[in-house]
Formats: sequence, structure tokens, C-alpha cells
Amino acid sequence: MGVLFCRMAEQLYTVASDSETTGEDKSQPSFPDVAIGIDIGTSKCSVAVWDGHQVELLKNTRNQKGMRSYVMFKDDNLSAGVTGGTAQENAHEERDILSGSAIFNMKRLIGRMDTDEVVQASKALPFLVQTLGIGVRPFIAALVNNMWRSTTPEEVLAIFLLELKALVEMHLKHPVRNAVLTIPVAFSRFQQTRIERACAMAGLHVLRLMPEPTAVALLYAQQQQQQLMHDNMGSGIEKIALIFNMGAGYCDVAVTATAGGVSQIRALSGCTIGGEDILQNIMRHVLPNFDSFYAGQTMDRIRSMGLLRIATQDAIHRLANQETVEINVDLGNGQKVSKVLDHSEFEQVNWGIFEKCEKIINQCLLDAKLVPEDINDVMLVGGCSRIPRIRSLVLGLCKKEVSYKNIDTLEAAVAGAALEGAIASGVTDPSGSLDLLTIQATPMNLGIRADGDNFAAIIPRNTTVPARRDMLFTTTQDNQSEALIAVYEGEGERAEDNHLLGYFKITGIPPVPKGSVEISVCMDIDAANVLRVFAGVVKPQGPAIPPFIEVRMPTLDDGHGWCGQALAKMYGKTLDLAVLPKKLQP
Amino acid sequence: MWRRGAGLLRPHLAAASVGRRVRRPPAPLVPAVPSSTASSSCRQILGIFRCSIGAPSRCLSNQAGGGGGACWSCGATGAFLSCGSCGSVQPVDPAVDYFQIFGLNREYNIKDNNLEGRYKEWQKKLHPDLVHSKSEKERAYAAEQSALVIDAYRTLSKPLSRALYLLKLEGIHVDEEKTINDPELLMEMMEIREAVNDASDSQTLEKIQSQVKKKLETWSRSFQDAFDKKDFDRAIEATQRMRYYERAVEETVKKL
Repeated sequence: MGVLFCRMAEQLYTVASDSETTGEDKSQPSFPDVAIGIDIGTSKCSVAVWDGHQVELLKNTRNQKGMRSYVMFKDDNLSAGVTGGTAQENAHEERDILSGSAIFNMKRLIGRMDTDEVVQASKALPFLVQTLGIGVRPFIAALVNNMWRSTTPEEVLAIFLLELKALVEMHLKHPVRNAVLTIPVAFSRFQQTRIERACAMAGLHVLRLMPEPTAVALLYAQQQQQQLMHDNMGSGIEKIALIFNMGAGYCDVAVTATAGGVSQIRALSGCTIGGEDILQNIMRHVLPNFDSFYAGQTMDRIRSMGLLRIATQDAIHRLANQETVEINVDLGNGQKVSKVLDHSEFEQVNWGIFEKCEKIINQCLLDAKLVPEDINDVMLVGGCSRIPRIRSLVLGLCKKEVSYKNIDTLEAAVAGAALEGAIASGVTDPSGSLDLLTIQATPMNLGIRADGDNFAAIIPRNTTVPARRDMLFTTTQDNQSEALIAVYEGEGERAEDNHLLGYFKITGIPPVPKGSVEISVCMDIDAANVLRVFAGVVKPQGPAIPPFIEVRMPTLDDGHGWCGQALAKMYGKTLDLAVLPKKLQP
Repeated sequence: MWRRGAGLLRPHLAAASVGRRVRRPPAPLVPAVPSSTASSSCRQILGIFRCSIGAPSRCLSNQAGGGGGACWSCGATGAFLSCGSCGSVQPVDPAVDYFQIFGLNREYNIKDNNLEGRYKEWQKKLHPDLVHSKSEKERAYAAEQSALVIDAYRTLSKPLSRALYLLKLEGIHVDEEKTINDPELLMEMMEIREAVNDASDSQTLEKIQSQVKKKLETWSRSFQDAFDKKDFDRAIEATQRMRYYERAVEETVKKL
């Protein structure tokens, strides 16, 4: 892929090509400027910065704080939702965004393979998402002059971020380099590298990627701290908060224990469900032949699907404040939708989604070893938290009458990211309002494949970061001279149900009966959230033993699904490891 | 445009060399400890092990250290983990044990329920996120100290890990692989497991759970008694019992 030039707002920007290489050095000495906070939403995006006294959310020229996340491909002009087409005469309307010429929902597509069900579901979007179902990147393209032109989620995100960066620089009147970005809890480490790459392409250095609810937790810690200082109560008692965040693409839950401006993340859980799924459920409900009607993206079908999307989206929004809503839309080709939707029908259609929300809330409480009675405050954030059923569900599970009032549903995450940006940039505030800290926890189990196709978690989820854990393994064959260390991340019991992050071999294992060597695999997550895996033979010892291997993960660039299967086919059980029974350790 | 290639390796190497530089004194190897644990062996080999975690029995036994030394940055005395006068994070002192970090006596029954509060106070002084703008050296100290405080908190906050740590400080390692040869205990564990499996409602499970928790408490008291009398064989037995009952409680929690 070559270098891509794009003309935006009278200026010429350069986006580096989307090829291999990863983000830049995370541990570089600090830069004088304060890192900005960015919340890239599936649907909307916002940016905030510490202005020296408080967090300021920036508005675009259309006076919006929440800017629609998309990039429009038109002729040779690229423009993103930050400016929304700048000039009044070519301002983008929602129907332009749904015309096939714009790519959106990047956050759902980034870092996913074409076997992923989220990618499969994205075929119901107006732009082109083509899959081969073999575990490689999907092919994504936007309609430019009646032709599909290919791009990648990283590239689209980079273009968007460039426009966002320009907005901030125009506002602050100086160049911006560092950023703290919020990400969904369910993002794999591989997806995180994609975000870092997109940022690098846009000339932004990622100071930190923060799970969205933990950014909200930081804002909460600040508010609690200020309240206490106001009341003159010292560091005060610990408060437990549950944060539920559901946007268009993802749903996250965090439980945090806050005291003295320190927010300790007790547990995190998340999944890839959100407003997009609700929207698609309703569209399929009101148009039962949705998939056959829209099979093959011709121009009139794209236009028709756009109409249905707008009408359905609008109905869902209205339903938050109304008993019933009507959806009336002429889809062309003799197909009309005329439907009255009430709450019970809406809830029935989206039953599976609510069930998933319930599951991750319960999971999070269980992992935090807390019961609903322990919770002091419940925070509801993200666009979907406006849905009455979601509100009652979360509050019900937490046994609370009302949710925490002091935060803005749509602005809390970006405000938290901006706070973190200021703290991480070394900014201090005389009034003590930046005297804060978030102690993060790992959102997913990290481990390796062992005991056949099982997953042995070495760093269990919700371990405080920085973390270092190790585990002993042994060979499964007599005289086995090599062992494959396949590193996975996720919640599945079988290795294949998790994200493959990378793999390497340990070679030169001494020829002894199976089960008699000890191989130590150590995982280390440092303060910058970098994962390293160390592995080697620890028993027997001596000069005939090969040196340890250290690998920074993820090493994979593409095609997880493909790799896992290829490894299994190529090596079978010959390089397998088994977990050694644990010795009692504190 | 962004840099590529070379940038990848640099931070990596820098981090590794920092890790080695701050480690002082040179890590003592601990082959003397029977059945050296995975963690200590791994750390020895990697050459980045945190002395106070890896080999407490060697480092701690005869040293009265840990009261705080002179700050490397401003020279003020009494710097403990971080300097009281200039706030600089200090290098890890292998003579400091987990109890000292929390200002506690080295005993099982810690009469303190504000462990988390103190843990957070330390993190506000030591956490690597807060020393971003400091020197590379101090950032490395912060990473080590912060991790040490996390381990200390994790270890002391739970009775079983606290008990095992106390034994470790006495130079005793508990081997979990040791098979249960007490037929009575074996029977009991099987019975509990069956009862948990058969339990069909949460009430029954809660009842089992409270029974097991009671036993856990009994053995916890038994540990304290044995440990105070330096009857380490009995103390080890108590930790093993505690581990079994803890697992049983976990099983009930999973089902609840």
C-alpha cells in the first residue's frame, strides 16, 4: 500500500502507509505538552484536555462535543466526522453517511478477522465488508464514484484522528503529540496494537490506553476526593462503585474501590454488544426478509437500507421517552415497513442482549468478590444506558433505586481520559484536583496452551498491574526436545476459544522421560502495560540447558485463526506441554 | 510520518538494562531452599528478580534493616520506600518485609482493617504512573516498589497467603504436592464435594459454605496458636487444611 495523501480543510496531511511496524517507544521521557484525552466511540467520538484548572471538552465547528465517527470518501477528498464536511453547502447528512461512501463503526472492525461474528454482522452496513472466512483481515471498501475503493479500519481511524488532532491544535494553538485513549474492556491486546498503529499513522503518541469504565472511575475518584476536601474529612472511607458503560459497539462493567483519590480497579468485564446490535435486531424484526432483501449491495439497496437504518435508529431513540413508536418507511421496490413498536416488543426482540448485560455485571461482582449490598454508587454511562430496560436491569442487579447523578452519560469517559492525560504528563494542580491515581487490573486471562487444547491461565484476569506471574510446565512425550509456547488471551477454557497473541518454541530440552523436566513460563506486564513472556527449562539445570527466551507480545500481525489451525496441523501433539501440579505458594 | 524499525528494540533493551542496574545488591541465588519455587527460579535466571520477594528467608532473617536509609536524591535520612522530604522513590531494600511496609508487627493476627487504605497511600507515592516525568532511574525504582507493595498487599490481605508468608520468613516452604494421608480429611473433602455437587438450591449451598467457613476459621486459629508456639509442623498442617477449605468455599461460590 502506498502513502496516502488527503486534502482536508485546506491543508495537506500525510498518513503513513498501513504496513508492519508497531507503535513507538512508550517509555520515552515525557513531552512538555499535556496529553489529550480521546474517547473513540463506535458511533461518536469526543476529545478533552486539561486546561490548567479543569477538563475542557472541545467542540467542533458545528458546536458538537460528540462527533460522529466516520470518514467520507468522495472523489479525492477525504473528510471525517470531526468537521462533518466543513462548509455548509457540503455538510454531511446522515443519509450521506449511509450512502456507502462513508466508513463507520471502525471500532467494531479494527483488529478483527473475517471469521469473527462481529465482522460477519458488519455486512449489514452500507459500505463493503467482504469476508473469506479463513481467519484473515476482512476486505473493507467505500463507494467512490460508483466504485468500491479499499481501505482498512486502521487507515480510516487514522484519518479521523488526524482531523481530530487538527481540531485540538487549532483550539490550543500549539502542536499536540500525546494522547490517552479509552478502549473497550473486551479489546484484545492485538486490537490495542491496531489502535496504537492508527494513532501513530495520525502522528499521535499513545501515552495510555484506558478501559472506558476505568476512565469514568478516575473521574469519580476526583469527585469523591473533592467532596471530602470540601467537607474537610481527610482521606475518608473507601467507596465501592459499579460502572456500567454501553455504547453503540461495546458493553463494559468495572467495579472500583475508591479512597483518597486512588481508584483501585477490583474487576473488569466486557463484551462486544451495543446499540448496533439492538439496531440490527430491530431492523430484522420490522423487516423479516432483511437479509434476502438486502443481499448484494446495489445502489438502490444501499439507499433503501440507509432509509431503514435512519427510521429504526430514530424510533429506538424516541422509545426511551415514549410508550410506543411508529416506524413508517418506504424502502422502494414495493417494500414498505409500517410498524408500531412498544417497550415489551422491543425488550423481547433484544432479550439476548439484556441477558448478556446481566451476565457480565454478575461476573464482575463475582470477580470483585462483592455482593450488591457492598456497592455505594452505580454509574450508568454510554448511549445505551438511556434505554429504560438497561437502566432498570443494572439498578436492579445492584439493588439500587437510583444511579449516581454527578456525571454526564456521554462525557464521563473522555473527561476521565483527559484527567489521566494530565496526570501522566506530570501536571500537578495546587488545589489537589489532580492528586489522583488509577490502579489498573488485567481485563482478561493471559496464559498458554497446555494439557492438549486447554488454556492454562498464568496471569488470571483482574490481576493488579504491573504484574508478574509464572507457572511450571512439563513435557508430554519421552525425549521431547522442543516445546511450543502458544500465548493466548481470553476467557475460554479451550485455547482455541481465546485470542492467539503469539508463539515460540523452546528448543534443546534434554532427552529425558516425559514429565521429568520443569519448564517455567513467566508473564510480565510492566507499568506501561507491555506484556513480555519468558520461558525456559529450569529443571534439570546446568550448562547443557539452553538460555531462556524473552518475547514481547503480541507478535502476531494478522490471521490469528489461520495460525492456530496451521500450528495444530503442522505439529500435532509433538510439541505439547502439560501443567505441573502447583506447589503451595502465597 | 513515523519512525519505524529501530524504535522497537530500544525501549525493550533500555528496560532490561534498567532492571539490572537498579537491582542491588546482586541477587543472591538460593539453591539452599528446598524445592525452589517456580518464581524464585525464574527470577534468578532472568536476573531481574526482586530480592525481597524471591528469597525472603535469606535476605531477612538476621537483618534489622528496613527502618529507612539516606535518600539517594536529597540525602535526607529515614527514607522508607519513598523519601519523606523530597518524595523521590527509593530503590527496593531487600531487608524490608511485607509487614514493615504496612507498619505491622510480624504476626498472623493483624489487628488492622485499613490495609487497603495504607496500600493506596503507598501507591500514591510509588506508582509508576505518577513518576512519568522523573528520571529513568526513578521510574524503574517506582515500578519495582509499586510491584512490591502490590505483592505485599495481596499477601497480607488474605489469611492463608499471610500464614504461608510468615512460614516463608521463618525459612519454611510448604509443599502442596504432598498427598493427603489423613483418611479422615480425605473423606471429609469428598463429602463436601459431593454435597456441593448435589446441592440444588442456594440455601443448601449457603449452609455448606458457612459450615466450611467455620472450619476455615478453626484452622486459622489453630495456625496462629501453632505459629506462636513455633510448632511449625502443626502450622504447616493448618495451612494445608486452610487451603482445602478455601477451595471448598470457592467451589460453593462458583455454584452460587
